[in-house]
Amino acid sequence: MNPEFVRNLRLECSAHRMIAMPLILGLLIAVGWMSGSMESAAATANTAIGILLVLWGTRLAADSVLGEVVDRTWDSQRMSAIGPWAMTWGKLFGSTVYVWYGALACLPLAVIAGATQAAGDDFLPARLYASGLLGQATAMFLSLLLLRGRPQRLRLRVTLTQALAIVATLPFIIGAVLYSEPSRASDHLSWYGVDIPTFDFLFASCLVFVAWAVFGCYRLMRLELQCRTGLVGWLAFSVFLPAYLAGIHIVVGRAGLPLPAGRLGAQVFVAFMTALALTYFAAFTEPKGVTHLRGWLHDLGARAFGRATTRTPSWVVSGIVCLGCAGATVAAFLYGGSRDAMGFAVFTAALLLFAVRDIALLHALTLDSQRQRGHLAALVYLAVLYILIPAFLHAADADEVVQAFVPTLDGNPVASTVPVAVQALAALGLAAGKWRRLAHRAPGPQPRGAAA
Amino acid sequence: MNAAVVQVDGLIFDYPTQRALFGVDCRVDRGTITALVGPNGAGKTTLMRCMAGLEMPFAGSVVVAGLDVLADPRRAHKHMGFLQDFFGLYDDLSVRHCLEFHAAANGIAPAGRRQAVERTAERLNLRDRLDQRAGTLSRGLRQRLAIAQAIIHEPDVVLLDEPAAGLDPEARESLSQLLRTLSASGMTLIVSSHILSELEDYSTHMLILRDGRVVEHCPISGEPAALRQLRLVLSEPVDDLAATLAARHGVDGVLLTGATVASFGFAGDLAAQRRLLADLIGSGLPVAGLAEEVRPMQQVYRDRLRKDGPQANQERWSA
Repeated sequence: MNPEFVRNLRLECSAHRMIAMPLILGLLIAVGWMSGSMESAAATANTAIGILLVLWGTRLAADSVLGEVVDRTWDSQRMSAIGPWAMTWGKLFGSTVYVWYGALACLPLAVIAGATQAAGDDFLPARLYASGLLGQATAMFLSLLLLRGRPQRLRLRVTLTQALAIVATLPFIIGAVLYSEPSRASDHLSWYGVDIPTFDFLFASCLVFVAWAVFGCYRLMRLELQCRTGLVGWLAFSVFLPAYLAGIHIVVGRAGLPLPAGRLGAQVFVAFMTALALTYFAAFTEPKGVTHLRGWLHDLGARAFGRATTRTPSWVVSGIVCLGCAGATVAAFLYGGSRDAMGFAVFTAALLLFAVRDIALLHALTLDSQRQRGHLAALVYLAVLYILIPAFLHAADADEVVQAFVPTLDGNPVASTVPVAVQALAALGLAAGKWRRLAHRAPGPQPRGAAA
Repeated sequence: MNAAVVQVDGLIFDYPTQRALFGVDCRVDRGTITALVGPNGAGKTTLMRCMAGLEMPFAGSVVVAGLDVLADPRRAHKHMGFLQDFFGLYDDLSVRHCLEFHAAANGIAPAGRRQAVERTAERLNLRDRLDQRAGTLSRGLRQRLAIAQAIIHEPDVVLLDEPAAGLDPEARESLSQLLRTLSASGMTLIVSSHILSELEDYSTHMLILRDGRVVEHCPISGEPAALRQLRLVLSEPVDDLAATLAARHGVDGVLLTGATVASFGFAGDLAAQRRLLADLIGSGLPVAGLAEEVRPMQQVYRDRLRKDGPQANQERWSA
């Protein structure tokens, strides 16, 4: 059996804990049953499943790798011969095995109690299990992602990771609970023109995202274990997510989103915005140290494309997808015959320019990766650029200049792009200057003749 | 000459503001114990971590037991063990479970794990501690357990970073003995330490790093050197001793360290040394002794660093 899973079993599943969990859960559910009905017993069981898997499980999953780093056992794991996939599932399911034990112990009662109800969702426990697994896989994914920057204050980051994972899971948990109400059972959602019960769509989406989260963990684990890892996985996700979200029907007009060019225009625009968000996400979470980028450029220069692929920053991949989506957006609007087409095309171009500015600024502040506060500084400067300066301009009755700092849908084509292009060039200049200082300096003393 | 079990070529490693390794080349022969020494910041730990496949260098290659560590680290790890200066133990697991985990994690088949645990516990004198929790062990025993974890899969190469740090004298002596035993069993050891007198007890080779470069890689004992250092002691002074010695075959670099004492390099084995001694006595020199001059490791280290000049300034890249 997977040695990492067995190790976790030994740590998590002592005889004392194995007895304590069902006893406590049994008492809790009995309290629910005695104070109400079978229905309240089922609700208690389902709540217990949610708390165990989502609140506690995400904590354990986030701690599964970061905890090893804190306890200084991670290097010995990295030195083992356990493969990345075995390490991934061994940690994901091993670290959370105890909460799964508790959650599965609730299952018979949740099912029996649920079945006695006249109306309700028989599959609610299954939806909660799927949401719990999504939360845990997301927590582990985020913890591995944070680990790439070799961060400090890891315990704090475990909490941060857990919180983010819970937030990522919330739509599915809320959906599972909300749509278990009989009155919502008939709600439907249109995805690429196909009507699907919202209930089923959420459950299927949850399962798909579980698969992606586990795959993401596997990919990051490969990187952590120094296995060469290509970009196909991230490219696939960068294509999948925009395509997935673009398919969800947006009610034009009623939702207050004045998108022209019909459903196709809306779809490509959503795809573009999603790809843009992924590019930002990758840019903020990728290691951006000068050593990393220098290695990548060196491999490109040496035409070692296989190795260069493994070092290519993920934001470049998402950025390429984003550019493709931007082109499709502009084409859809221009050829869609909308009277606002030019406005949308300009807006799309402005968004791209803002992205160039922001990513260049981010690199200028983080190329020297000894600066732990580089990301924080970038966030502060972006807040100044996006919030403080526009607020100041607004207060100074210079509203027409605001579009130089905030993407504006109905902006002047020149005023909303040229100043942003200038800012982007300035940020690129900053990043290039930093790069020159860091990368092209002599790398220390020259080799001595005595060197063996 | 033994076959190289570790081959490092052109290893370059960069930190964001500083280059840590400048094209390091070295080969470590099978069955040797190499003392990896150098001043603080020389790059010893970085070199070890690159050898272990824990860090990805900017350029270069590391081959261990014929496997490219950078291309396929997981396979290479089956042939390596690494003891870091921190022990990295699972405190809540028993010694037996710690060892079983590392046996399984390093690819030992289920059928052989129990035997591997017993054998390793026996070797490290941990047999009577097998059911004790790792967190309750003393520092010396924790270190033994960490070494046991690193060698349970009988690796070809074991890397040890400051293994004696924090140990009392008795535990250090015990560690020296253990490392000699491991070497005798065929493992190749690379040991990084600041305590040169201890390294001298068991090391066969010394690899000196400075400013991220190899400045010396030489045998310390037990292996024939190309030029051994001999010391001649006379019972009374003679004229032209230096010239007399320099005229002999294989003698180089004669240095008179007193009226009756000379030190010189000699290119020859023990039989050649015997012939040289007979020749010197036969020529009428009042020879009282001729023996190999063993320089303490500390002296070799100091001499080599002195020869290399004052410590170079580490040029920083930071803005």
